[in-house]
Amino acid sequence: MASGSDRRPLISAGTLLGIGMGGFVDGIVFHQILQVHNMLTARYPKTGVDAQTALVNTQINMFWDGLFHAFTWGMTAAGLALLWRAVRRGDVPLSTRTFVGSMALGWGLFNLVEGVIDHHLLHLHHVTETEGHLLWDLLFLASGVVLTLGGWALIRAGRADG
Amino acid sequence: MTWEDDVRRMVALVATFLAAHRVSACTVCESETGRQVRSGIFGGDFGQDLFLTLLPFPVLLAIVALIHFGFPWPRRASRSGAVTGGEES
Repeated sequence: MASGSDRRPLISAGTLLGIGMGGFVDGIVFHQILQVHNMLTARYPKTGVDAQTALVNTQINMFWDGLFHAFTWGMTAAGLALLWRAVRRGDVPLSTRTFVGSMALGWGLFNLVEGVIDHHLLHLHHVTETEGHLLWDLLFLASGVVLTLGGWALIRAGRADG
Repeated sequence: MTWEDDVRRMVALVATFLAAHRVSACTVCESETGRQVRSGIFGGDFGQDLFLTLLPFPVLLAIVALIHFGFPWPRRASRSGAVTGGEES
């Protein structure tokens, strides 16, 4: 690595982008397309209740999903801003491995932090709101571990890129 | 009459149209379902639900800040005696 270079601006930008994009994957795939859970479905369930309660709870969850998406959008926007600042600096080596690894790290951190806090500590929702939700919750955490470790490995490999 | 006058007139017309249709644009605002939804969102649990929904984000931002600014504890010295800095692991 060249002396006087600093990879941290690129890593922090990529991580923030990964957090935002990972949040969007969760929201779009699980909340909207598959509809297996929403932000607060453990508190406001859509199943096992009468139709009117299910409708009301669905719309309540849509509000909190929207707020969640607003913050993931903010994370993505902040990541883009940091990325723009990083590429304008002369001392930040523009390594593809570092950048892609950072995004994977961010996505992995999102899955880990959101999974531990929302699924396991606070029980706001689970990956699936079913009896066997623990397996899916653990698989979600495992995906976070894989992404985090893979991203970290790519970042380390990116040291050789200058 | 200039084109700016036409634009102002058009904006005023659109704003009037939208204001007049504000109630009908919201399909649940004045219904029993809408009242239950608003009560569920903005009821006594609103603050708690807001805090819980947003809790992961300051944790994630703190991690990114650690990456960007470095750890707050003193950095270890290198073999040459100079304090290492600027690059993470």
